Amino acid sequence: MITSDERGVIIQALRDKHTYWSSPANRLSFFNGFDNQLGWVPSFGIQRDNDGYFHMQDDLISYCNLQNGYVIRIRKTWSENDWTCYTNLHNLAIESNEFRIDIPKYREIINIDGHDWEYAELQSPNNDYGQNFNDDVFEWPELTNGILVNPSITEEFKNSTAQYFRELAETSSEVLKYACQVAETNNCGLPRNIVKPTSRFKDAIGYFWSDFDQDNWVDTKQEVLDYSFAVYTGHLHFAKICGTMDDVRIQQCTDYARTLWTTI
Amino acid sequence: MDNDLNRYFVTLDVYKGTEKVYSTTIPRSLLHTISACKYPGSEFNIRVIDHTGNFRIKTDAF
Repeated sequence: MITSDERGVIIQALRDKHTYWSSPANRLSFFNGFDNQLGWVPSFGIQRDNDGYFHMQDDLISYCNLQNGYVIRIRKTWSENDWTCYTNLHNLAIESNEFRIDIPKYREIINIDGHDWEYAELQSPNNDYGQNFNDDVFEWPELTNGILVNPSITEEFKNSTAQYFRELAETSSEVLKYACQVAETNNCGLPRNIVKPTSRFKDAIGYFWSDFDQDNWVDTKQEVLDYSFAVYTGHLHFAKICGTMDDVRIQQCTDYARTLWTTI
Repeated sequence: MDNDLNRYFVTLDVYKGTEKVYSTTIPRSLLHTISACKYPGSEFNIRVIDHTGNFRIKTDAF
C-alpha cells in the first residue's frame, strides 16, 4: 500500500521525468545526438533503476516495477469514461473468472503546466510483471545472423506456433466480449489496444491483459476488430520471418480469428 | 546494472553499415516497437542482443 507521502514523491518523480523529456535538448542528448529523421529513433525513452524502468514519451510517463508488477503513470489524453470502464471491466473479470487484467488501484487528476493529466496506479493480478509475446518469440529458435531462418525449425514446431496463435485469438475473444458489454453499459467506445498480442502477459496462474488502461474508450467495435485483426496478422507474418509459420498456417489462423471475432 | 532484472531487457545496437553508432536498452516487452524504427531504404539497421549477449534478430529481416 502506498502512503500519501510516498505517492507525493512518486508523482514528483513522474513530473520530473516529464520535464526532462519535454526538453528537445535533453531528448537529443538521450539519443546521442541523433533525431527521428534518421528512421530508427523510438518515440519513447527508457531509463532503468534497480527495480524497474521509467518509460517517457510526449503524452505518457510511466514507471514499471519489474519486481512486483506495480505500474504508475501519468497520461495527458484521457476521459472520465476510461477509468470507469476499465474498472468495470476489472469487476467483470473478477465476477466471471473468464479473463484477467491489471488491477486498477488508484487514480487522481494532477495539473502539469496548466493541463490536467491523469495519474493512476495499477498492479498485475499476481504481483508479477509477467511475460508477453516478445518473451515467447525469444523461446523460438533464433535467426542465424539475425536474418536467416533457423534450419532446426520443424513442421511440428510450426504446428505448435499455429496453436499458440489460435489460443491467442480465443483469449482475445473472451476479453473483447466483456469489454463490449462494458462499452454498451457506459454508452462509449472500446480501447483500441485491448487485444494486441503484446498486451497479453502470462504469469504462474495464466494469461492477463495489460497496458490498455492507457487507451481511450472511444473506438467502435468494428474499428477495434479491424485494428486487432491487422495487428494479429502482422504478428503472424513476423512469425513467418522467424520461420515458425508459413502461408498456409497464417491463412488458417486468420480464418479462425476472423470467425471467432465476428461472432462477438 | 547487473542484477536478475537484466532478463527483462534487450540491447538495441544501431548500425550504419558495419559501424555501430548507438546502443540502448529497452524492455523486452516493448521489442515490437522497433519495427516502427526501421523503414525501407534506411541506411541504419538495428541488431537485437538478448541479456546473455546472443545476437537474436536485426531489422534487415523485416
